[in-house]
Amino acid sequence: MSRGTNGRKRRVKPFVTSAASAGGLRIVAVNLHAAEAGVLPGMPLADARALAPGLEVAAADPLSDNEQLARLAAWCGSFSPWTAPEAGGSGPDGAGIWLDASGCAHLFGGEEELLRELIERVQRLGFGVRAAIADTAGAAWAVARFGAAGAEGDSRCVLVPAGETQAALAPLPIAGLRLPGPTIEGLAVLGIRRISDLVTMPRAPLVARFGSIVTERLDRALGVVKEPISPLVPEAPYRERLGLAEPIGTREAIEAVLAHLLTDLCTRLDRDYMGVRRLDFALFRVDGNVAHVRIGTSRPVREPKHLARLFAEHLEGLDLGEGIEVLTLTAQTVEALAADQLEMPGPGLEHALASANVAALVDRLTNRLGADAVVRLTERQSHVPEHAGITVAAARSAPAEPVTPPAGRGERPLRLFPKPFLIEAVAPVPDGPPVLFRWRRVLHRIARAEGPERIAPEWWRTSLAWMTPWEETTRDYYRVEDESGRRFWVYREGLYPLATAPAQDEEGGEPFLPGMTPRWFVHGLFA
Amino acid sequence: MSPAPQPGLSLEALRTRIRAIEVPSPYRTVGFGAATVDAALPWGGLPLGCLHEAAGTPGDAGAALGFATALVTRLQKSTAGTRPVLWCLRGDTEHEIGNPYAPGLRSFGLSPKHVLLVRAPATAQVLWAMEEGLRAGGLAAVVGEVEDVDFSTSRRLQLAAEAGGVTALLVVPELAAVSGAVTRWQLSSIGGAEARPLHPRWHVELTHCRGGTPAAWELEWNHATYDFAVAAGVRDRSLEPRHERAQAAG
Repeated sequence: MSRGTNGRKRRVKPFVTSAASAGGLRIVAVNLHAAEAGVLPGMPLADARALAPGLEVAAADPLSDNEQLARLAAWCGSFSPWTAPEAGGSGPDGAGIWLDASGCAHLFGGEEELLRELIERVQRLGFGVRAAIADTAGAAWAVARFGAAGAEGDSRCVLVPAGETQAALAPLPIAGLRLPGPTIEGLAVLGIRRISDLVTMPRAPLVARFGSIVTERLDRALGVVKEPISPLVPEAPYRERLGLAEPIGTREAIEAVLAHLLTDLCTRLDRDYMGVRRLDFALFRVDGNVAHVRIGTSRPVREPKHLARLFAEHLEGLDLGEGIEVLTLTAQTVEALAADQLEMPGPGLEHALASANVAALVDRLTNRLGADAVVRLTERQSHVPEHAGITVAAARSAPAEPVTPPAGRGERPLRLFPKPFLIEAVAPVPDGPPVLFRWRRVLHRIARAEGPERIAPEWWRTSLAWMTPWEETTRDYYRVEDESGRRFWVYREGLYPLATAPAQDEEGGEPFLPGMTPRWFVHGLFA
Repeated sequence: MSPAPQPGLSLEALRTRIRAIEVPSPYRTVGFGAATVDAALPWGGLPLGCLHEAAGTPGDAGAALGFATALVTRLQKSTAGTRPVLWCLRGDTEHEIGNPYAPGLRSFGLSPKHVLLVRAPATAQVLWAMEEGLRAGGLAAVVGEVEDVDFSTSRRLQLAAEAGGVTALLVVPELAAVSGAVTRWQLSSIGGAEARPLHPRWHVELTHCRGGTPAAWELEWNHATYDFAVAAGVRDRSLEPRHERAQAAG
């Protein structure tokens, strides 16, 4: 079932908004009092002033109207997990809000109670509202806008009982089918003014004249053809809701409500052998704003205490405005979770407890510090050192593939720098290890060295554009130990030119090495 | 009411009595694999479920990190390889001392898949993550790399370690004057022996030990057997404090 609502600001005087158009200022939207005086949208402003002498006028502001509508749609999230604003002008076919009420009515004690509470709360925000629940989105739209005039006040609600859609639609004007203006006028010329006129008509001439839109909208309104209005919503969404008679404004009170909602949700999850991976806690403020607190877990969970601790981090410093009147808790992602095995006796107990503890710990750390900050170390099959060891967010599952280090790989340092540091090194033999190097203004004299271990770039990666130049050259790695016992992983970038005698330059000074001069880097620390 | 001093009691007997008061319950232990080290510790090995502190010397971060990694490897193996290690550090130290490197940990004998790394934005979060891990339990060890730790912080970590039964290891650049840690270690790298060049090898000094006496050794790490061993080719210097050697040398 779906439902549209239509809201306007409540005032005691005739009030309109106007905008410039061809031929001067025209009325865009009217309030109830203006409508009673005969002022209609589209009328020139001068005519309206003549009809209603005390008319208040403001410039129309469609942008902020749409923003307000979107805020109201979000606020309606306290009634249904799926809401959407439908922008539009004023008037009967104007803006509204869609709510998918499937499976939500039981939270309020029935569809009638849901409608009544919705109307009451929207009115308290200062809007006039018309709402309807029907079997189809199209019927709800039509009934909310054109339904039998309730005539008491500017708010009313209609509940179209299941299966009575056609009867409810029949007396409504054809504008209730969400048809474009020219089509409505064309139908009116043929004498078709009410939906009941359309139902009995032969279809072929209608399609021939107006295209398929008329029959299509009719079928959708009647429920003959399904109308996809929302993403697939699970049959029984895991959602808990608490509406409060008195708004609450303290953290303690919110935590108490949250604990209550979590207990209810986890009881349902437990019954269905499900666990939650993502949870949304929405706090609906008295002033019409909504605050969301969202958490994720590294594995399916249904322990209220664990989840409450994850939320506790985020409730600090939440803007509660003038108070919270409705709180909802929605499981956005659920996964199967077998019955708890904690009662099972035997040696597995300690292990099970341990893993549950660790998972809960990962969640707490991740929710506070972020998924990038809590990682596991993994190895990959790569000769290039910086590709061989990477980190993966711990909240994600561990990679399954076991990695065996490539045969013949030398020892690797305990710490690897994200970017190697350029050092000044002296190597007496072109192909040999350095005898001393300077790094961070400290001179290290090498006592022992082991190497080289030649690491060439992986040929299938060499020409990739994202690679930095230092990833593209052959490196000769040495493990070196300085005189005080500190151990480093250094490498020489690039190859010395082949042993063909270095050409002497004209003056017979320094030997001239063609190509690049090799550079030395420190890439890691050994223990 | 305090018992009157008994003249006949030897110093050693008094030490034993003090030790009994100071060490409330016998900790479970994990040995070093080197008998001389285990014998020097009053518990007969490294006590579990409490805080230990290790410091390198300026410019030699590798020694303390290596010693910590070696200890953690032993602790992890002692849980039959089932429990993970939580390793907490500040994310912005990667340019200073580098990132923990999975192939390097494997070279040390520690399987990277058992390591959970926390790269926190600031020291306060490193300490918070450590405490969370210690109190959560179910871990083989919790390691934290921080710049300095005051007494109340180390005391807090010690209490958390006792509460959760998890061993905590703080790696600091310099040992503070006072600390709540049960044992405190000062590390410096020493050159490898001729037979095994470039092998992990450190001068290990136990500077403070609750209920024990300071001692020093030269130890090397065997990543195949996960044992510490008194370095081959070096005489046992456990009875010779370091500063005396320094004086002799200089």
